[in-house]
Amino acid sequence: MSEDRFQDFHPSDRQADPAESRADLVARLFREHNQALISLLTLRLRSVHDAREVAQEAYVRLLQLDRPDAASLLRSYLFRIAQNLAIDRLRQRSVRHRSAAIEAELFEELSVQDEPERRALASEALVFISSCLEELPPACQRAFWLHRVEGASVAEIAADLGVTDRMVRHHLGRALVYCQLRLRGASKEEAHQRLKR
Amino acid sequence: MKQAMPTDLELERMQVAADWLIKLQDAPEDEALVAAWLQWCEEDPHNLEDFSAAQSVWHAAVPAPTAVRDRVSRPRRLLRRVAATQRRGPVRIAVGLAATLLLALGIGWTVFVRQADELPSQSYATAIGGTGSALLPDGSRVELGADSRITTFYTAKQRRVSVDFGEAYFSVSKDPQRPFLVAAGAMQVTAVGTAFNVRRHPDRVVVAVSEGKVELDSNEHHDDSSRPHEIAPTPLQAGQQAVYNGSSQSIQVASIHLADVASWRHGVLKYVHEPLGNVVLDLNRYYSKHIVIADARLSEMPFTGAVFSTRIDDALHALEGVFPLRIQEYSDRIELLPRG
Repeated sequence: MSEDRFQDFHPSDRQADPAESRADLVARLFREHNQALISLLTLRLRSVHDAREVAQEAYVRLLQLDRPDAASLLRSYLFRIAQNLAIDRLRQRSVRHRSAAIEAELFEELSVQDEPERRALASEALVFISSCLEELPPACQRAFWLHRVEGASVAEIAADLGVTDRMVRHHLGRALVYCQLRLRGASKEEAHQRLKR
Repeated sequence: MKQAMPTDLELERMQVAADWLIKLQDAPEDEALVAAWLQWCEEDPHNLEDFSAAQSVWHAAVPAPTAVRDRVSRPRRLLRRVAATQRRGPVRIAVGLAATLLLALGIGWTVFVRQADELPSQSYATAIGGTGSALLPDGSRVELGADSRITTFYTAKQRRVSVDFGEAYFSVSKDPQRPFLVAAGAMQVTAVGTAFNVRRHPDRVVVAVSEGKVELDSNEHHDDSSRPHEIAPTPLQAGQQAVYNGSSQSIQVASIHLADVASWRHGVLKYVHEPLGNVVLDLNRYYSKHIVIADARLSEMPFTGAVFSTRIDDALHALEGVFPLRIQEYSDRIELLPRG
């Protein structure tokens, strides 16, 4: 994808006060876009920890970059630098080593708890989310399993289930929203009712 | 009682957010897609919140948790710290832990426990280096500094919020029938409709008001029974800051520029005569490496100045010029040591 394209989507950026320094601009970028950046990097790296490290490094590199100080340009540089750092990191990492990085991060906490009662309760909370998945139609469950555990792409799942890509995205989205409704206190029936269309 | 169900419009947004997550997971390197996603994020601040919520659920929803339990790698500081600061009953521990698991990304929410005539407790947390904001169930807004957590305990009669650790800025929606109470260690802050910042350190609480007024008081629910904490009722108004010192059990009130009340929201940490040890505690909330200051005399030295939360490296090196200290860097930590 061309660099121009990446810069284009933010044409009407409030042009900064010329006196606003690079550091101030970067601080502003951090404030306005850090959450999006971390979300995106987590998605690629499958690890919140790595995402934060990469984001931090991207800010540092941005500060050192010898480029114009326009805020809109800086933002596209920030995301570009971060994406490139993420690619580097994925190359360095052996596939097996971190494939389940985020699960390990989540579950190691459960395993370091020494009080059995606490461990039971904590895993219960996670089991609740996972058990919600079992309340979904079989095709939806299978799609989510393939996506979440097997790491299959939408196209691969579509081939497996013999449905369109669009249908697969519908299944996956339904699973995610269903769990959120259940977490918010909806009963099975209420949650299913809301998702009927 | 349960948390309000989303309206049709909100439900639609949740579905759109989930669809973005699935599309991006398939092609995170597609710059045009990322650009379109960023634009969508900017259209409405709720969009990114919903995206993060979907992402959290995706990560938490693992069909067979026992299968991965053996694969343990490095310890994580944030999670450790949550476990270490828990001193409550088992039910709330579950809430806190679940919250932390779900909220590893930016800020988010969780609801698991229902108690008679209480709304479910909810925890909101941020990770090291990440700030965030959220709408509380009553319409008040909270902005959380990095590595911070609050928990809400709402009843029909009052809105209780505890600052478990870190720093939070509250914009309280007016409801005279239902006071908004914030507990931070030994201190309780009562507000009706106002905006104020609370920063909690182990032995110190700093409250600053940017709008309206609040009243400071003892937190009678404080669970540190090793010694009594009596805080005389103290009114505080916009443009004032109160510092409660746990060891001397005294409150000092001073004036503060309105713009400085929660300048961390703009990436600037500002201090006036703050012991260096406390400054380092704050910096640790924003910095990936652990900063250690073991020397008691150094910890006590007062620091006045500003630190950019994205440029902590620079700030640490600047300290070398101002204080009689030197910086020793290790792979996993940075130590501030007394110099010569």
